[in-house]
Amino acid sequence: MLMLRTLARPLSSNLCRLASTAHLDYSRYPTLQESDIEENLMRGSGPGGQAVNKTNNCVFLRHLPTGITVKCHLHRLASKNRIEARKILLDKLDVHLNGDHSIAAQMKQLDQKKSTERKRRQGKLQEMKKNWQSRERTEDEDATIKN
Amino acid sequence: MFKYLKRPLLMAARSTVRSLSGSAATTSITSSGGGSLIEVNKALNGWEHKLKDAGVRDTEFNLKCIVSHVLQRKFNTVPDDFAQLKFNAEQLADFERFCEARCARMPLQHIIGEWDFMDITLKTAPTVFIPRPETEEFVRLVIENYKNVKHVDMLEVGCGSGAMSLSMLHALPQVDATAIERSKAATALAWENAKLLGLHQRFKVHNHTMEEDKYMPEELKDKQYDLIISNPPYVKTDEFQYLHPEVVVYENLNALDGGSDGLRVARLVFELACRHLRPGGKLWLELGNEHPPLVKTIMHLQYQGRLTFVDSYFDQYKRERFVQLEKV
Repeated sequence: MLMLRTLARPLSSNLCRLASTAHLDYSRYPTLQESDIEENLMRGSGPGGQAVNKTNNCVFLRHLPTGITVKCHLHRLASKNRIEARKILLDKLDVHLNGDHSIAAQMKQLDQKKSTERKRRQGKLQEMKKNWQSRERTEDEDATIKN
Repeated sequence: MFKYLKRPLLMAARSTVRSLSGSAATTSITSSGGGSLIEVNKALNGWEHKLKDAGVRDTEFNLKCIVSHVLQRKFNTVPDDFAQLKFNAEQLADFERFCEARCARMPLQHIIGEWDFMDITLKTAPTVFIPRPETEEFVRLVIENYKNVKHVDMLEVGCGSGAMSLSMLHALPQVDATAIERSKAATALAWENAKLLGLHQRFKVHNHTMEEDKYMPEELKDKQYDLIISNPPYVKTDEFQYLHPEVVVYENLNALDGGSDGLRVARLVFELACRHLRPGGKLWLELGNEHPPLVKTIMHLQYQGRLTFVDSYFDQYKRERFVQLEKV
């Protein structure tokens, strides 16, 4: 019933941030089989449909082969939460199956690389500033001595 | 919109005056000239209990919807614990009014004035039927069947707020939709939603009540369509006693009443389809639990050579409720 093709990539704000520099390896990213998922869809007993106006937006998923569970009530609508829950489940499965090679781990490594690179550049800049300042000071001292 | 809250508020006042013992405002606002703020969590105090006492379920969800609406923020941006959120005096007054209305069993969707349906958000209005989640599955199914068709002339019978037609138009640019709707309020709301969503170029709604020998309004009497969709009233008359107040008091019974077997209105749609569907055109219906086999039988017995039963489908709750018929 759901279009799982659209779930190929995880929904992550981090992804947007890294979009320009990301070289993420999706080759190990898992796919989700609907037959592997148990979903709670509670509409209660009784007729449902027109007769009922209950607003239950919470979706629980259980991945049967691994036992991983997801609960999602982020959106007002259960139909949106069903999609969101599957995205979260995919990310969790990825971490479970691929560990260090999971997309989450890759993004963390990229983040760390960026941060160490930034620190290295800042350190270099500080050094350059210090050198320039000490050079300026010695030039001043020379100038005052001459005069 | 607030004028519609007077009746439920009167009802609430009468029925809940005892449970609201003492002052209704248990939160104090220090009026030190110029907006004092009250923590949302303080404002919430006691309301979960009152809602439960009034018979409302999913109280946390209801409260979060109301808080988000008062703060004019998207539901998914508001934290579940309402951390650091505050109301000003006006917002607090709105919040309490909305909670009172909910205690009077006014539907949440009417209180917040809008509701989502698939990828669109629709305005809601008192007495107009609120789209159900099963109908999203129904529309998804129809979209799947028509996404590769070049052009579709579609008719919706009983469009209500416009949910089905407008989500079809939103998803498929090749669809042109016409709708008929018996309720004046719903007709106006559907048109308003079409304009709000920028879909009014491909949508026309006509206020018309189907009856024998006058299935369509005068201006549409010669029109033919490729596709007819409908979620006609299908609740059986003897099921009315089980309806919750949200449904029976605030929604329109005309939108629900399917007569003794629930198929009274569907039968009118069958006749309409015979006259207004092109050969090979399809009629898709969302009906009640036990209806598909009945519809199959009716087709065999009464519509030979006119309509054929193609298939039936299940909603997301595993109930067989959708049918596809074809014009011979």
